[in-house]
Amino acid sequence: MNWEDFKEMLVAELVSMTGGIAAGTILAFYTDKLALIPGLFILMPGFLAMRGSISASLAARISAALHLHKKSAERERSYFGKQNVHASFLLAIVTSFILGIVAYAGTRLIFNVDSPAILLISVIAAFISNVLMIPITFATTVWLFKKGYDPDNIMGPYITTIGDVVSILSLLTAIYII
Amino acid sequence: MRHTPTEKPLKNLDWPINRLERIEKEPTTRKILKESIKILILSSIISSIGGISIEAARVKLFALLPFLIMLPALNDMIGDFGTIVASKFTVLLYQKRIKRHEWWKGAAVHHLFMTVSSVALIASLFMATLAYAIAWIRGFAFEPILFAKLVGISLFATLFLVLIIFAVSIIGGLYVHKKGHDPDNYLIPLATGIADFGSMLVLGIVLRWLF
Repeated sequence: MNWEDFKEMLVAELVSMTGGIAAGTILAFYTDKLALIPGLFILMPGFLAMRGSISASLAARISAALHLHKKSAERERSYFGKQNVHASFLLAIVTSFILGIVAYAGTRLIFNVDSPAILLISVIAAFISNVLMIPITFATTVWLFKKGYDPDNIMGPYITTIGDVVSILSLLTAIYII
Repeated sequence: MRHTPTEKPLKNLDWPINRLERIEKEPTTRKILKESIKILILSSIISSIGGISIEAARVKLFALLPFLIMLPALNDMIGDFGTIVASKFTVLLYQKRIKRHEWWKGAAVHHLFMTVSSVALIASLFMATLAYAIAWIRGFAFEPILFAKLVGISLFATLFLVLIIFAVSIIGGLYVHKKGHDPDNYLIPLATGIADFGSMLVLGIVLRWLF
């Protein structure tokens, strides 16, 4: 067994898992609200996966641009940055709408329960998580780069950890709004 | 002033200024949307299909608080192992440290399997214990049998899915590499998709069978 790999994987995994458990703990506090929304457990895994993928890709693109000097750390509001933010925002809204349709269809066809609210919950939650996650991802990547770290080595586990908590909070907020 | 080819600035290419501006201002938003949307939607839908199994066991999930607390962490953890196995196996293929016809004899594959399995074992024990401890703090009664079941399910789901991810990465990786494609581009979405879908499916089925 490779001990270096073992140590690196274990530390990253324990950090990432603590975020997952924090997200689960938030869920446990609001079981009464979750029970009211059929289809939420169909939506949730896809929503978490979507949030993680979009934020990780955004961090990777910003990091690559910083490394290639396409964009200086001082000019984080550049055209390139804005385009990336727009793209990440749109990706989340479009994908969450489709996930909402999948969750609605799954609930309707398999469990014979009509739950149109799940569509709105998905899109509203995506909007809220966008407002929180995109600036966090952007600012953290640029900050790490400015401090001399390689964002590629840090952003993966960090984004998974923060992303889970933000996604669950966004879903719960959307349920409250609806 | 002479420039090496990599340092040569675009403005030395004698292109019209408006063309240079167009390159500088390439439609990044459209490009990102075009390249990402299909795979993002597909992988998210695969994860959500796994959620159907959890939706079917939702009443049990609400009653068994430690399982609800463990849910996002389990989903994440197995996805992470999918990425690790797929990317490390791809590197081994490129380094020619795996013989196509006798891959199971390679020390590198054995090391990777042992390392990932050991991390999976410790991580799933940590996850189950932490989930139960938080549920207990929230007022959930401590029952040794239920705790043993939680640990058992966490270990079973993790190790079972790690085995499947290994099998898919090896078979798929060798095939894709033979065809001359980059295995990373195929194995990472495939392995994370299997992990997301599989973790939810296994947890849902086990919850329905054991409780």
